[in-house]
Amino acid sequence: MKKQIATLFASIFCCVLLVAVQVRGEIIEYKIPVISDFTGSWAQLFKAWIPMQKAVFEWWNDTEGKKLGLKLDLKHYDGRYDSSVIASMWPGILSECKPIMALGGGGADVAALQQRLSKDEVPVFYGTASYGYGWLPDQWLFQVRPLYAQEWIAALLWYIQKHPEKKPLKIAFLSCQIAAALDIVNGFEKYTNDVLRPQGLAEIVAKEFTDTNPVDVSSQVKKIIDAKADIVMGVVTSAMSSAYIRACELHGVNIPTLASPHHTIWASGKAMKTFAPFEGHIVVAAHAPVTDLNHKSYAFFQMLVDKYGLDKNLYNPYTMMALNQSILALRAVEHAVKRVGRDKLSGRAVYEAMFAAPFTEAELMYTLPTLEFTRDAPFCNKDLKVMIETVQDGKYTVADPNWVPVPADIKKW
Amino acid sequence: MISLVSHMINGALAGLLYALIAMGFVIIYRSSRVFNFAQGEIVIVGAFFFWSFTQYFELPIWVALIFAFLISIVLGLVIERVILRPLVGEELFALVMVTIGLLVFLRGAVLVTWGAEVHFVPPVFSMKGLKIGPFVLDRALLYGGILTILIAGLFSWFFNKTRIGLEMTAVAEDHQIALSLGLRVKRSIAAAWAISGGLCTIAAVIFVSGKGMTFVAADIGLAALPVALLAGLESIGGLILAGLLIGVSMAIAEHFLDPLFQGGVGAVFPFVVMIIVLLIRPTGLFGWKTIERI
Amino acid sequence: MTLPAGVYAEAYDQDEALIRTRLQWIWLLGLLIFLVTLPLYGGAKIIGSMNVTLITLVAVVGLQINVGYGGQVNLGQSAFMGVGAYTAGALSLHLHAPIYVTLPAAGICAALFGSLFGLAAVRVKGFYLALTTIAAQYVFAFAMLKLPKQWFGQIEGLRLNPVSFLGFDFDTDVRVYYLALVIALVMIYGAWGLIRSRTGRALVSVRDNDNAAEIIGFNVFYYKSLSFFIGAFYAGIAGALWAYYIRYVLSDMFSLWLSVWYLGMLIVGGMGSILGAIIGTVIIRLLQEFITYFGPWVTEIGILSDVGAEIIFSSMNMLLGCVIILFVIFEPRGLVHRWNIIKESYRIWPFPH
Repeated sequence: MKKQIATLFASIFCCVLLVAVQVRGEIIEYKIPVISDFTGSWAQLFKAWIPMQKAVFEWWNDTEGKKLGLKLDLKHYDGRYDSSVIASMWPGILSECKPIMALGGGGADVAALQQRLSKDEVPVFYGTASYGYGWLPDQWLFQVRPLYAQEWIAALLWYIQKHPEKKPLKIAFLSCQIAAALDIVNGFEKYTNDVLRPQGLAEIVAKEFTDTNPVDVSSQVKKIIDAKADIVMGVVTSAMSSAYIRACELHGVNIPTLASPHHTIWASGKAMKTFAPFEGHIVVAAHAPVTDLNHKSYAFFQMLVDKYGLDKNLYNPYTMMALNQSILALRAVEHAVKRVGRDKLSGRAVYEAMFAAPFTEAELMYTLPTLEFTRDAPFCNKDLKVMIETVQDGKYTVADPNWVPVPADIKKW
Repeated sequence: MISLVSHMINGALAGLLYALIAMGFVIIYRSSRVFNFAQGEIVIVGAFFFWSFTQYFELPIWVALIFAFLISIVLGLVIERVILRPLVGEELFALVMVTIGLLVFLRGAVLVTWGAEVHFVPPVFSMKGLKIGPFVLDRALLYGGILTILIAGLFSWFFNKTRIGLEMTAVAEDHQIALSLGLRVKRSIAAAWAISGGLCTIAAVIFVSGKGMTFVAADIGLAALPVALLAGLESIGGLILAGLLIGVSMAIAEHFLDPLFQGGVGAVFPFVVMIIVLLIRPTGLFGWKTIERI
Repeated sequence: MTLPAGVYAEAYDQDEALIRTRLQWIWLLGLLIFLVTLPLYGGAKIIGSMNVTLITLVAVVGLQINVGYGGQVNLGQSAFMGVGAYTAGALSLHLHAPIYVTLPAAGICAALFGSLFGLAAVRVKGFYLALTTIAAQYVFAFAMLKLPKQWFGQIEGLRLNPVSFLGFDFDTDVRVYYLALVIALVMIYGAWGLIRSRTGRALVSVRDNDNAAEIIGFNVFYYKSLSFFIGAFYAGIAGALWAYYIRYVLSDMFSLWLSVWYLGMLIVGGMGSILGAIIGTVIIRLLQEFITYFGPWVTEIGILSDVGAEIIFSSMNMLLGCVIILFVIFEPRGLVHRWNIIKESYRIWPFPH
């Protein structure tokens, strides 16, 4: 009996000691490298990302981080969206930050780092959607959104449902030569030909290509009009989208485009100071809609504005990527701490934590649906759903207040 | 068939825009033997100034146009005075590299001043297309094309018939000889840079009128290279022909080859045409044949 | 040790030697020992940037032979490098070829692609040539994206495993460093030998006046093509090293900008000198690394806000542009010229230069 009481006391003492250490112990600091692009071709995006990333990390350090005894400091590097720059600075980043994870920019750092991350044991998080050529098992990079093609197919099916009179829907591609755009076209084409066309739902009637920064797309648009297309896909740069709108005005038509939020409506509409030319166009993404201010994710953003001095105009498709990226990365760290404790935190621990448990919608502050990662893809490939936005009566707004499911039968291409 | 012809017409108009940008190259090259790699950057600086005057200072379009035009002329003069004048008589490499340095510098300057966001330039011409039979034409490109032909005619006459123009042409032949004949080499080169700067603004306005642009749009300078080379770096009238040739052949190539290659033919085709023509005629279609002495 | 009053040779052997004084031997050995032992005290940051520097060095030395000695303006070096990278990548991926096959093969393929554009050099000169080589860039990018997927992966690029030599895997930064170091030293040694040979002197004579060279009996067609062949061969080797370091090859990596930077390195270092190519590469790479690390530092110590960081980075581009312009205007013969002046005044000391 005495022995048992002694053991009990001893264990209580130990617990108290542990808690005391936990409370009094130094907060452990980690440097989190961010591969940004200040002077390369995507500088416009990154400029908006940085304040958002900072605000989310500050919030986390103040709340969850304090509870766990962790502090994560962001450190920005200019990769110039150039894989040779990134390749030469990455070993330096490794030795300087000893990172447990990193926030990535996009294609250029994927190219430079993908092959070495598993050896460096650094998981890297991306805020963008994924590409078919990155659909590989055992990757150390994680994307918050599924494939662009998956998102677009979901939106297309939704569109067909809304417009049954247009069956089979005539799809036209207006695309450019960057790898990302070609990948979307390839994936989309395969699904349409394999699944949609046999069911009489949709068919591809035109495939036009242009420069990434085109002077004029009116002759391509003419061909699309002649093919009697109902919807246009593949407009992936703001230069293309404004040239497309101009060509539509030229020919006096308005064929809607389907794209991701940062491709068309928001970026071009903001520069034009009107969304009216995009009437009826749709954009789709597997994250909370930026146009719905009643959505729970906006409450989180509002908190960041109120408490962490974030600019209130920063709730848009660009910053949404940074928000998603940061929140997923931070929750991954939490999951890892829960599994191995804060003292054993490492790149591998964060990596393993990605597959251990799903990230719930509430954890992700409702900006993303629940995500469940598996080792066969660098993105969540289960129970996918997307949000669709459009321009209605000149106003950029949600097209459907509910999440729209992504069909599960999309195969690798 | 109508689609092909429409494609060719649009190609021709785009070709004329390239010819206008290439004219900036040619006028500088004629007078100073410098090939200005930063031409695309100067076009974009003009476009950004135009944007600032209309959107930021909210000036009427035509006033903004004149201001942007004047600023580009000044920019041309400053570049000449600060960077190129010290290099008069230097070897070719120095001249190539200094304009490449200028390109890197201006790209940074545009980023610092205007940032990397999309800037929407208000339309100078009506956005409604001009309908001619079954074809719909872009007004900016059409008026731009006509303007390009007029400007080319004007400068052809200026350089070949007027005294000042002929002096400038003589300067191009050999700076030392020109100097010893009492021609004002420096003033002539400065004038060429000023003209080229002004042309850049006109090209910029035609190019971006009613469109969104970022600093990446400066790549149009590279797209205009084959036109300048095809014409031969000295001929202004030849530019029109070269522009039309490149534009139309590119449109035809895109029409027939793009479906085979999944696109992308348009970007590479002008360069292939250029190489083939240069192998047959090393100084382009209308370039000067120089006699080399040992 | 006494200072020499001029360097003079007493035998033909001495006159022909690449390294002529005892002091040069000491310096060279010191440098070699430093480079070989660098990973012991250099830290990962230095090794990482050294790897890229060494790879760049190989490409720039090749460009020096092509441009500085051969006199043929070349804006396609990065595309030639890309051809080398794709060749090495495809050979090791599909055929599992060992490195002693892939490396020369990469060089040869790039060289053949390069001489294709060198053929234009025979007829086209000066600026025309500079712009013709830009075409190499466009042709390269188009070809790599359009050739069959089984060859070069199209938009997916090529993913490689670490290269191995006699069972030794080059899978860490330090191991790749030694690989790159050995190759770079061999290539530089080769370049030094080449420019002192009959071929090298022929290249220079073609550069100085191709008409005169033809009249005194050199085959100008041959030497112009050869100049591109050699330059692109170096680029190909550099590309292969790049492929083995990054282990991922994509046509986007080899942009026109890279070629522009390489030419900038030549200008800063000095045209027509192998040492100039080395100095230029090292200086520009140092400047690039400085910008990479200075930027975050500025935001970290909080002199400027986030918006400030953006301006800092953009200003760095302006700075690099300025450096090129200032060098062309004020030191057109490059840093190597300054170095030669210092060396000469040391050699003939105590006499004034």
